[in-house]
Amino acid sequence: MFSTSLRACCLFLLILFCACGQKALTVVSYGGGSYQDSHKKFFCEPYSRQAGIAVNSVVWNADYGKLKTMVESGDVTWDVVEVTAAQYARGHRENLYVPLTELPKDGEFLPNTVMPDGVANVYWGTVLAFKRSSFPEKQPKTWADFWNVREFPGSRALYDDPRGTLEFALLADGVPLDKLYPLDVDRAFKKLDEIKPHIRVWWSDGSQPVQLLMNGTVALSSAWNGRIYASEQARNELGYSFDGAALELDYWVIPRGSKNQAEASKFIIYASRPDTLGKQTEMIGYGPVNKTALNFVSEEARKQLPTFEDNLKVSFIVDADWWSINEEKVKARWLSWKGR
Amino acid sequence: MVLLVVTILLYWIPLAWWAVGAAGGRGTTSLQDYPFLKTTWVTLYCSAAVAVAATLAAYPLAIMWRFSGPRRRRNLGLIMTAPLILGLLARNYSWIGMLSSTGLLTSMGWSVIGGRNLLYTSFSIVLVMTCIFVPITFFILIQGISAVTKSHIDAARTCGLADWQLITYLVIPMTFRAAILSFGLVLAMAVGYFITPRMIGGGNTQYISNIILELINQGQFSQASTMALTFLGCMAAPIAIITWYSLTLRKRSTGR
Repeated sequence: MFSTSLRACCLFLLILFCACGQKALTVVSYGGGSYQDSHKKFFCEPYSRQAGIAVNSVVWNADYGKLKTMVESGDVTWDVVEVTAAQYARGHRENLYVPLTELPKDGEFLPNTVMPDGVANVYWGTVLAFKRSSFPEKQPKTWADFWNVREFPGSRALYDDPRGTLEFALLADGVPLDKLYPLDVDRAFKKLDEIKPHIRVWWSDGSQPVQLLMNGTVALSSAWNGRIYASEQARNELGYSFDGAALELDYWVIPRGSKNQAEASKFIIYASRPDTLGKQTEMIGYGPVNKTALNFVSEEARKQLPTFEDNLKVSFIVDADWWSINEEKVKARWLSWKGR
Repeated sequence: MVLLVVTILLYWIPLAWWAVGAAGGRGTTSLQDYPFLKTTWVTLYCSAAVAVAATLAAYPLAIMWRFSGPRRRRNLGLIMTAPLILGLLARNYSWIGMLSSTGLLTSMGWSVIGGRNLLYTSFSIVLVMTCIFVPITFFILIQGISAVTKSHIDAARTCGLADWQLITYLVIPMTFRAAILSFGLVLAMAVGYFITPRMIGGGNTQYISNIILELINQGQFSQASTMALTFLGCMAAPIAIITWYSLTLRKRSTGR
């Protein structure tokens, strides 16, 4: 019995030793759900096979504090992190990221999407979404329609974050697309006061607005366009409008203190290739920053992308620099406003 | 004495460190920036409602347990512990399904009680948290109700008490301390909850813990710790009152 136990212990230690010795890359995606699935399917798994290393796909909710604490403590367990554009700008100022050992060169990239310490992935859009059956005659199109509870009655849902939401309030109040920034925060909150009694849910997870709309909990909601695009049932039952949509970039970064900087850079280059980005775009409906990737995307899918010219004309790009400076103050006011 | 030393070293000193940092100006003053009083009030009254409801809901079950045979007691114990096997998230999602517009409870007409929208309200938070805490209050109350022995019941019957009088004049007074304890424990646990208020409340009802978590996520640790310590100070008063009352009751009933 003792010799059996001893053998079992030795076998366990051997497995542990092998596992510890194996190189692994931790890739952190923002938002989870179908978006993370697209990362796993087109980036993490194929790269793992190609490079012969394990790639752990993890999700986070863009909690900047968590990333900052990790870097400042020196105990960095993440190798590649997907951050929002505002977080990229802020982290760049606070020296949280390291430069990539090499930059992607395969394809034609949109301006300001390939930086020494961060490479953008996709443009994603926060759009106005609704259930088609709730509005059979006239469908809502603009944020002014969202605020118009008489013509478009029913509960609403909005993203529980001021980024994007303040801009929607200003658009509903008549501010032109090209005059949004710098944001008139007082005016935005005053406009939000009008719609607040009709907000049933402040959603925090990307899959929530789709569920809320599909089961009739709310009639209108802001939503990430990719979450609707990725589900066939949602595409059939829900409608959405790019009019006044908020477009944002996500950046791949390598946190300072990561132990696999070279491998992380190679992963980012792989994820930025036209063919891999094209496949991801086909699944998730977000606009690739590598324009060559559009050659791998069907004509029908291209029309659903936030970067499609017709959609780009009527939407705005969230000003990451403004938000990186003002986010803390505005978020404090947001929490205070919600609590009133 | 050992417990006091451990508590000071592992709890109060680190918290005081953060509070001093916050007071020294690392970040803005949190109490002015947030609706602290209102959120504290919402947290306390929702948690108190949960504590009262969970205690009251567990009472009939505890009484049933006391006056049942071994087999029924075992089954009741199993029914109470079964939900604990499921994780909190799974239970919250189940409640979202039941309380949603097309959910079971709403379809059954329960929406008449709380209005059309059962989900994403303070009522739904109290309801779900009550169900989460009933197993805890049940097990506390059955400890208290075990003090009601057969001789007490026989004596009460001899005095001619009916069933409802038995419960009112014997069971409830004898289990009052257990009820106070279960109220206090559930209150202390409920004020720290943030998952259920977030998921079931839909972001409309903010607990102090939700704001603290939001501050931590933004990296504003000084504000988060200031808010947490201030709330701890606010909670010290009701917890102290409950503890004092419970000890006073014990002294009156047992002389110790």
